[in-house]
Amino acid sequence: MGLRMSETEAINKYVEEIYCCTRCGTCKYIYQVYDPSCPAGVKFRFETFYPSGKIHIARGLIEGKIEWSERIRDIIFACPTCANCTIQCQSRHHAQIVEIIEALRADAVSKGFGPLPNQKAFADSVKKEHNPYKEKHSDRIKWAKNLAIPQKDKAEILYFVGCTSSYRQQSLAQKTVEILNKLGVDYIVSSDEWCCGSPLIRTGQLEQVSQLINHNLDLIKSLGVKTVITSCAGCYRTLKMDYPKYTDKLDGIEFLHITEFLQQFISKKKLKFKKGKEFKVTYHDPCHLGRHSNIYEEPRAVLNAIPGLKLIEMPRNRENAWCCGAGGGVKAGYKEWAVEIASDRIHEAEQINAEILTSACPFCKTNLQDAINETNSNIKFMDIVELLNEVII
Amino acid sequence: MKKLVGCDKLLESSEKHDIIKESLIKIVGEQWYSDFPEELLIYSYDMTENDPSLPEFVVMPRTSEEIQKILKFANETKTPVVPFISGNNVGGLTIPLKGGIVVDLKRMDSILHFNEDDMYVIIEPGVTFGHLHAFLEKTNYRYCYPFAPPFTSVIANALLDGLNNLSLRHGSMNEWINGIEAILPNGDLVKIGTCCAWGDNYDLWWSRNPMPDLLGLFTSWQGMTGIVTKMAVQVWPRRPIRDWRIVLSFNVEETYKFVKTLTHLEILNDILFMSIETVKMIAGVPYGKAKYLEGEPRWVCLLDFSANTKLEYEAKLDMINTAFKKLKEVDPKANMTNLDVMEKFYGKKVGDIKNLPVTIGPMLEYGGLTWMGTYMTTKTEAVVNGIKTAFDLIDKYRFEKCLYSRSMKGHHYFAFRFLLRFSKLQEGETERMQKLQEELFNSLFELGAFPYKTPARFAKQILKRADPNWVNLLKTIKSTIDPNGIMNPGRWGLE
Amino acid sequence: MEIPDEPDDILGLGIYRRIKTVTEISPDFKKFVNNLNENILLSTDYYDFMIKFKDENFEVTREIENPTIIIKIKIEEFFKIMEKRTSMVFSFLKGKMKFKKGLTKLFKVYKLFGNILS
Repeated sequence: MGLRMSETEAINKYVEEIYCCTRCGTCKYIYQVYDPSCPAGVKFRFETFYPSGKIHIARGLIEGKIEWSERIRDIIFACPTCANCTIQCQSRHHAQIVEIIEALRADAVSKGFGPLPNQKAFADSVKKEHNPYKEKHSDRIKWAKNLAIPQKDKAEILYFVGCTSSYRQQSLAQKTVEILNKLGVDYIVSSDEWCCGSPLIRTGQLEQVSQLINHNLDLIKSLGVKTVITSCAGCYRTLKMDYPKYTDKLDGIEFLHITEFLQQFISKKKLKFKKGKEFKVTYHDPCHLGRHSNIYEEPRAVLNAIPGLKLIEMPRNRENAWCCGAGGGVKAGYKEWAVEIASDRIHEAEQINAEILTSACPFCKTNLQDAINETNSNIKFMDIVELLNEVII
Repeated sequence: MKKLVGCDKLLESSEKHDIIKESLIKIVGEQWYSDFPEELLIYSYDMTENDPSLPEFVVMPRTSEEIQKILKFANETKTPVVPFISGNNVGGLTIPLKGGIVVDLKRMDSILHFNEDDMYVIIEPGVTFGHLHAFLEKTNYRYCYPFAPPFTSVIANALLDGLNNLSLRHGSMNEWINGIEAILPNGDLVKIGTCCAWGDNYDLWWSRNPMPDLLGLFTSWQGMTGIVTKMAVQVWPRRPIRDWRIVLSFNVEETYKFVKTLTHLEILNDILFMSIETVKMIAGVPYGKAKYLEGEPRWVCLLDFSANTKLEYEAKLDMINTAFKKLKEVDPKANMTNLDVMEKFYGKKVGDIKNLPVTIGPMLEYGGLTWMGTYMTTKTEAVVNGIKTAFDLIDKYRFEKCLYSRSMKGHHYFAFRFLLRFSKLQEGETERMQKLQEELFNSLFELGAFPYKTPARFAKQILKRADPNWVNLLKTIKSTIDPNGIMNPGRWGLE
Repeated sequence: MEIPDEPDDILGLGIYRRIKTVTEISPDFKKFVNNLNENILLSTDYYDFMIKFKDENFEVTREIENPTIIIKIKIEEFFKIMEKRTSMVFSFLKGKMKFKKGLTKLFKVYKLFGNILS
């Protein structure tokens, strides 16, 4: 068999995994539950759009049987990399499926077939302003204008805010620091935080990634912190799962999602709650926090601690949760498609009569809120920090 | 739209392609049409060792009417048509040997009707075992499930004489069919079974008797006579008590006699007769390492039984124990235990045998999986010789000796199969598997084993050896139903 | 992606996986196993194999060397214990599970197999 392998192609690292896949179809649905699991597959139905199809595209490219094209780019980039397939696939390559798709994206970029124009704008903006939103770097902590954030050089903990909470979903950053202040945590926020790299890694634009990682690590070390907390599932996944692939200089720095951090306070009964009336809340597992990082129970522990809050689960929850559609660069690349995926989730939340839909990620908030608006749903979305801040003293 | 009829030879192939494309898009809509190279590539091969062959078009219709239009057009233009659902048939049967249009039926995935009184469901081709299982879990009824990924098509397996975990009681899956709706190559829609009289009333698809049974025009024809768009399949009451026993043994003849004894008692749902290599494969022993080692039990039987009452259960268990004691008298190291013990030792993948349909990951994770799947006589000599012959050949070609066999329909016939994993990444391994399959086919056919889901290359050889009058009848039926030879051409060695 | 390095024989594979599973779910058992420096030879009517515990690791192998404990048992009895049709103590008292070496380590064996077979 002639394999057309070049050392420069990212996908070649996964040849063995690619040849594991027999296209048995198990990745297409929730295993032994039989609900749909793959947003792109369900929507487009052709074999290529399913996870196994993307793996076989990779195989076709390696064998030289197909060439890169704009349609292949669209197939590869229309996937929100939600990793549901990595849970449902029963074969030994299951854990690497998202890595294979991301390697395909890196190859698409290096061959000039990717990323999509809006995704390319991320990279340009990150290069110039260290954030993907074309906002001024000097405005990074403008969200904290009227808040009492600690003004000091050193602290135990760094709150890594992330670009989306800094510039787009500022309420998440504001409520997070309000919670930290209420808890009396010794923390710090830095105005020189750079993009964590997630939007670039997820879209195969790897050129600047090392530079971003080095900057952020230098920053963390200069602040002398041992623990970094974040309220962004995307940042968390990148800091915790991707950074170790790029550097061995993490030196025991602990990365925690805000829900992990808060759960420690809950288990020690250090949170004080207002009395509240009963309300029904359902929790949407962000893909980057759940399937990518295996954090399922901590957010639920936070929610269950809230007096009056009745946590009800959507049929697809935890590792089987339906993606919100915003991840993997889909929100930027295919805006309507992203909202279509999220609309399914809104419908699922409505079906169980939830009053509030919550999650733990600014991307999920953006896209789920867009879907609520699009579908004229009466359900209310609140991020977990927004919800918690309202009920703690 | 340009007309293609009768002038295909005059047109440049690109022009012909464009005309077909235009027509197909008109029928199914642009969203459900593809001729992109990556799409065609994926439909050109499957997990088996069979050679790949590219289609030229892929369409995904949603209705019988769309399929009627597709077939009518394909017939007029003499364009090959290959029905496809999941492509997991392990016989290379959806590889488009002569190119043409792949009709991917997975969008037709509705469970249309459940008739509890007559115990059947009417389904579309895209309905998978997993989805039917999920549907029936909410009822007191069950269907039969193969040892295959859950997302394979019920209709495809039923039409291809697939077997399952109730085959000991009921035979191959085509015996569970009450009736079908099918589209003939000329676009005509036919209904077979009682639905021929009352087709619009889903409550009257209760049997394919008493009338000439035309179902045989579609079963095991591998999509060569039309596309089945609806099927009524029988379901059966689910018994409240279900249990399993595993028997480990050493002597092939005595073990097979034990199997025969149990089947004659008519108390089991299913009995599998496997080699130790098969169990190791299921348990997750990596490819190449599932070998028999000295001192190990050589054979493993899985007994599946159920009961309505505790008394019935105990009576059945007592009969199983008695049969096992007789085996132990002649095969003293034989042992019997339950599936929970095996699950404790080997993990969920083994325990999942209780939860069919399941995906056996270790069977499907080296890129290549094929089988020599046959139905054969139950004669002890034939089975024992068959095993020896097959094992020698598998050894010769350095693959794993995974026997996975099963008594069919009260032991009236025997499903004699060897599951063969191979690596598509390893240079030369696919070709080596092709040679093994060739030799396996030749040797086992001589012993009375008839391959099912028969790959085209074996079908051709069968036609050479079969009674010429049977072959002529086959050809006459095919040319009558499909005079232009558009339906899955090349299958069964018929052009 | 790694291919697990497990025993290829049917008995060894089962015992290996069972020990792994129980150590994963029971910290007590893990601690016990980590401190178990023994070479246990299981002599069955199918074949002999060894479970070697050393330096907080274990392996299951058909290569027999320097056993510190030797237990003789038929697979039939093994299954009976697993199915709770008998107990380890009863098997021992009835002579269906015999110590050929290391009887003084009875307690260790009881704890080990008590956890594996339960």
